[in-house]
Amino acid sequence: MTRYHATVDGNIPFTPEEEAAREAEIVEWNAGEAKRGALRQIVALEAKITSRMHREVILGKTDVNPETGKTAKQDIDAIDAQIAALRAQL
Amino acid sequence: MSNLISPAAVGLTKPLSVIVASGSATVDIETTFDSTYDEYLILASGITTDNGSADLRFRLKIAAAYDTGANYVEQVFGGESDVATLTNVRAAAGTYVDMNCGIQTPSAAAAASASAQFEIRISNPSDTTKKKKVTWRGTFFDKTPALWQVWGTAANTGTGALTGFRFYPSADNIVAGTFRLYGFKKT
Repeated sequence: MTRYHATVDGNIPFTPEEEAAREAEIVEWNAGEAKRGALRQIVALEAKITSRMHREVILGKTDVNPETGKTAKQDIDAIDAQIAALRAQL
Repeated sequence: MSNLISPAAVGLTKPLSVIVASGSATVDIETTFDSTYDEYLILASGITTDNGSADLRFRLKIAAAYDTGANYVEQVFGGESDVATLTNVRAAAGTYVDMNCGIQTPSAAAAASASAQFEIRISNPSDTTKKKKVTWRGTFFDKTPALWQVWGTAANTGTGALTGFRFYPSADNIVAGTFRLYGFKKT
C-alpha cells in the first residue's frame, strides 16, 4: 500500500527509496516493542517506592500499610522482585 | 478594556497553512517557513494514529532536505494522570525526535475518544548560523486510558535554514489531525 506525505498541496506518494527507509524504521520499531513495554513497567514500579517508604525503612518502623498489608520493607522487596523479573526480559 | 491589544494587531489571527491528516504516513508543514517572521507556532490537534503503541516523531527540513542523519538531540518530560510523579524522562540523540518519550500515542482502535494535541514553537528558522531548536508541550490519552502531559525541547545540530517540519508516527499512519502553522509578526 502506497504511503503518502500530507502536504498543503495534497497527498504526495512516497518514492521507492522512502518506502524502503520507512519499512526499515518500522521493522526496527516493532523489534523493540517488548523492551519498551518492560521499561514502561519498570518506570511505573519505581514510582511506587515513595519517600515515606524509604523513611520507614531507615527508621526501622514496622507499621503495616493497610492497602497492601505489608511493612514498607516488605512492599519494597515485593516491588524490587517485580523489577528484577522485568530486567531479566531486557 | 481599552488596553487590550487586538489579535489582528499582533498576528496569529490566520494560519499560514493548514494540513489535515487522513491516513497519512507523514504530515509535512512547509508553507511557509521563511524570514517573514522570527517566531513560528504549530498548533496540532485531534491527532490519532492507527497503532496503539506508536510514538509521534518529527524531523526537520534543514538546508532544503529532511534530515535523516543522527543530528538530533532532545530532552523530554512526561507524566500521567494517575501517577503523581514524572514517570518518563527521556534524553536522547538520534535520527529523529520522539515527542512522547517512549509512551503510547492514542490509538483510534484502542480508544476512539482519545486524541493528542501539541503546541510547538520554532524561532528564526531562516537563520543560517545557529542550531535549530524546537520546544513543545502537549497532552493526550494513551490506550489504558491515562491522560498524559509531555513537554520537551529538541535541536537539530545543523545550522542551515529550516524550511519544513515533518510529523510521523513510529509505525503505521496518522489517522487524523489538523496541523496549523502560524507566524508571529515582528513588530
